[in-house]
Amino acid sequence: MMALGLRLLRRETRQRELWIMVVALMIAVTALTSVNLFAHRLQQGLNQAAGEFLAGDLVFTDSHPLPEALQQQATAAGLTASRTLEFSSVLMENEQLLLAGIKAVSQAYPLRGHLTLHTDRLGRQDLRHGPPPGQAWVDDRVLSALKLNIGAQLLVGEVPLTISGVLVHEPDRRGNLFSLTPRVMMNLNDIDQAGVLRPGSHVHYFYQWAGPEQAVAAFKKALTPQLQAGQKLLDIRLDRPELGAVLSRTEQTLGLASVLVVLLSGVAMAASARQFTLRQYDATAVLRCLGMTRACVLKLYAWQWLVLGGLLSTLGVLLGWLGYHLLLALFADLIPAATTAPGPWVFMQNWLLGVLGLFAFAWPPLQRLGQVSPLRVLRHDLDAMPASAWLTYTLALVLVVGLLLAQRQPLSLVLGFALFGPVVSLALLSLLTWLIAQSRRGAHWGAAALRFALISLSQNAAANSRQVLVLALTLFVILTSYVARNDLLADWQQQLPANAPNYFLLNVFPDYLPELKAEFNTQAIAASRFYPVVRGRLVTINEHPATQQARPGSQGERALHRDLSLTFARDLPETNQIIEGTWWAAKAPSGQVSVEQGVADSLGLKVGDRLAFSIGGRQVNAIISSIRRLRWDSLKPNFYFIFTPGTLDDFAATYLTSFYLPDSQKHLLNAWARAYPGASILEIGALVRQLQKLIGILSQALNYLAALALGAGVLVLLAQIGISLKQRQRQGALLRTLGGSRSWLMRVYGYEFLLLGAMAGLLAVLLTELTRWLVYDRLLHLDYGIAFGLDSITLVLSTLLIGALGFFGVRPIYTRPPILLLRETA
Amino acid sequence: MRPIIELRHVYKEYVHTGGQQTALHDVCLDLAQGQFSALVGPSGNGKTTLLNLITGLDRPSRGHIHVEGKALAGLSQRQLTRWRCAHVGIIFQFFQLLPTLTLWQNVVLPMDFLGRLSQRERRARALALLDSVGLADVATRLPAEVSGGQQQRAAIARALANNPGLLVADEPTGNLDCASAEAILQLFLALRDEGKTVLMVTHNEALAQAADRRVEIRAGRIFADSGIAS
Repeated sequence: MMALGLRLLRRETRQRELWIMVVALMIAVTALTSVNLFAHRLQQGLNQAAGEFLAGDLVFTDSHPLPEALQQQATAAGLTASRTLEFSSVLMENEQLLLAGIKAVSQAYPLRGHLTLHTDRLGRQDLRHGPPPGQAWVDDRVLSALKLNIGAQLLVGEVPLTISGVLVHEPDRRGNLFSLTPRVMMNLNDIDQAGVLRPGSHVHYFYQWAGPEQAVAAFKKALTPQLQAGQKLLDIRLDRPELGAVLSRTEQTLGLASVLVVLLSGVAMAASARQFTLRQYDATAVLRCLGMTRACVLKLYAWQWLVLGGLLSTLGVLLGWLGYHLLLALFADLIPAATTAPGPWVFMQNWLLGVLGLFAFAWPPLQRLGQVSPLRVLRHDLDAMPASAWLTYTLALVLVVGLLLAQRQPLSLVLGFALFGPVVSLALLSLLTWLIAQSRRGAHWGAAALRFALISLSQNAAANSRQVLVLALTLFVILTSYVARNDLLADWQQQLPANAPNYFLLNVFPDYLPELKAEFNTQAIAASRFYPVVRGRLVTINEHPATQQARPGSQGERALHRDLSLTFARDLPETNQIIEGTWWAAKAPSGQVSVEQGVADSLGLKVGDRLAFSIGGRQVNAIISSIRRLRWDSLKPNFYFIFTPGTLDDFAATYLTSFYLPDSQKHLLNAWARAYPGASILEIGALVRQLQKLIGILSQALNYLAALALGAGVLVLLAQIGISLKQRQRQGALLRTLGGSRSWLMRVYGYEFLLLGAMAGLLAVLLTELTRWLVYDRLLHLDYGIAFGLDSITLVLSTLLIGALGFFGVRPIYTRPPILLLRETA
Repeated sequence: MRPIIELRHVYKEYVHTGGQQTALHDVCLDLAQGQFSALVGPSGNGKTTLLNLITGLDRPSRGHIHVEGKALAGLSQRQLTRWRCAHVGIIFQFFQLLPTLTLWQNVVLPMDFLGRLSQRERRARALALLDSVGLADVATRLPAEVSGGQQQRAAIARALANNPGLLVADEPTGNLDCASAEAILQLFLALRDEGKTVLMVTHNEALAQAADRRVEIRAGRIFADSGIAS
């Protein structure tokens, strides 16, 4: 059976239809492979870039050293390791005192990211190691506060260190107590000589590890159950929610875009397979006449597809691999160097996806061949029964849903796609068929060529509506990708303008507020609102201990084990959105609280629940009046719990704000540190820069995926034209024989494809606007406005592009002499 | 009767990978105006090739073809198309009506190409032509909605749309039952009586016998011509 299948397939290689399908399949597999490899690599790069915030892929922290056995376990797992110690110490030089955050680092630190050092001799340089023994690198605030210069001696404990540079950037500087104070970085080998570590010293130990993704994951899995109270494993999503949010969103967006490219390629494959199937009817009828059973017919073609799919997938994977390297070369400046090459499984996965994709998208049309009647040999008009629509589209749907689930897309999106996708497609198809059929009404006026084009469109309403729907969905994908990219960037540009906050000022006493606000005004410093902060802990939910309700390992559970920053406000803070309940009125009674969505979810909180907080040994009760969604990536003060004004009046509050301070005004920080003792300053400028870098990568990757989507879309159009080309050729030959001139035919096809392009563009614009409205108005509660400019450009471009592609696709009909067309279609 | 079509020493050769094949060999033929001629002969012996040359769809390798005194070789592809539209009506074995157009829209098509009449006049003429072939009551139907015989009659109406002097039919009854074939024959005879020149390729000897002239082609040559014999 296999031999016969291959023999028949070899004979088919002379047919144009098979080559159309082969090219479609090749492009699909190549695109799929390069996208998947690139997305995989990009995610690795993004993880790595994000890992720079921790100076490693995985970080362990505790107030005690990590047992030696666990350190060896990491080494055995093939991970590289570094160590840092952090503690605060009072420094005294030139009769000046300064509380500094000391960080002692091992030779291998940082495993990810880099330190930026400024020295008088070498200027600014990026380094992948800490200071050598006997030297210290310090914040410039240390120099100004202690009246020192580079090259001076600084005594840390009992060890004199030479200041050899100013520390400009430190990858893993976090917002804890130590980072609020100016940094002094020293070598770990000097720490014993300093004699500052004594029993009971308040020290934080950090162990960083880096290595291949799988090894890090395996070690994390092994280490997690051994963690004891107070010990923590940090990864980017847990430790830096603002980055985790960006990273998750990036992964989801890229994943979704790649699935959409697969879907488009699949449509092209299905269209080509349909054409191939139509060609096989006669040969199949002969085989059936000769005694071949239906099952054998299907087996015969299954072998053909398996061999074809296997070969093309192999070739596609190879081409995809080349395309992936081309992309890497293009994005070399943006993506950090790879730690590991893609494993064989990644290639195998794409190969399998290619074969599965071929069967999912292209098998259903071919399956009709099982129903070809032997009578067709005698009666040419006997076509096979149409394939079951359920089978045709269920297989493709299962594949796409499987891909979405594998990418851990939100369940709501997957369900929405699986349930509403087919229904919406069918509804659109019916509507389009009806609308196109109505175009016949317009065929009573205008030029003969236009009338003929309108009649052709309306008479083939079902086929044309399928074509318009596919093209519209292609455009919709490209447009959505473009809008997502631009909206995302615009969103970020709004959130992170040139003067995005780069400092947090916290622990500001109420007495300082008027003076500080006046100072900000005088210096023209853009600051966010000053939020009052009271420290407290959530203890009960509806009179039950809160710890009983927390989902283990969740954001809510972590929030229960520490004092939280609680605030009160009359107005809803910017970047916050109420998703349940209502924000309180101006003169609302005290005793109400608004809760952040993530915490509410993980603690099972809902509007109306009663919460009790412990603040300074006293209990404060509040009823939840709303649930808020907030953006951790806004770089503005954010709070899990916001109370009504008056609820926290009995407690002393300090104030918190964020502001932008240009480098030229950095000297103000020291002045403020002296003027407002107790207030703390946290620098977040580096974080902003890293986030902007992530967005840059995402934007470029989306550009690439949009280009692939466009390529797949063009392929869909050409495949669709290929299906109807033979019929069009026959018609064109007849028209030319009857006296239709070349220019008349050109006008007919021009009108037809321009109309198809305009319809596809219009539908794409409508779908995109509907999606934008849903996302903006219903999901994000942002102001929605129709993008008239973009819509008009889309409409014009789609009309011209599809018109030109279609016109080009049927070129043989109007360029070749009619006698040749007659012979070809005979 | 004076000849409307003159073929002088016409050759048609096809070059393919296996070598050169001569489809027509030194064909000389005159067709008189108002004559109903039948072209007969075995399949693959050059009948359709001859029709293609006469209708200007193809060009001879050697020799001359004159239609109404005009040399086809001197016409450009564009001029040939225009000439064919105005002067030749073509009828095919498988009717070749455009399936997406109704019968009257199919008939209007050649008039659209020529563009001599107004839209209203074209429609009126199309309906009149359909009426003349007995299809007035099915004029708004699609080809798939009428019988094979009706489709062929519609195709004849279409061929007559621009009132051409020459009608060329390639196996017009090859796909019809006897009754329908007889009806088509009667139509051709009636057209002949109106002064049209009809050239019909057929395998049906009875039809050929009914024609004014029987030209037999074998191996690309005129093997027998009743016109010359008479």
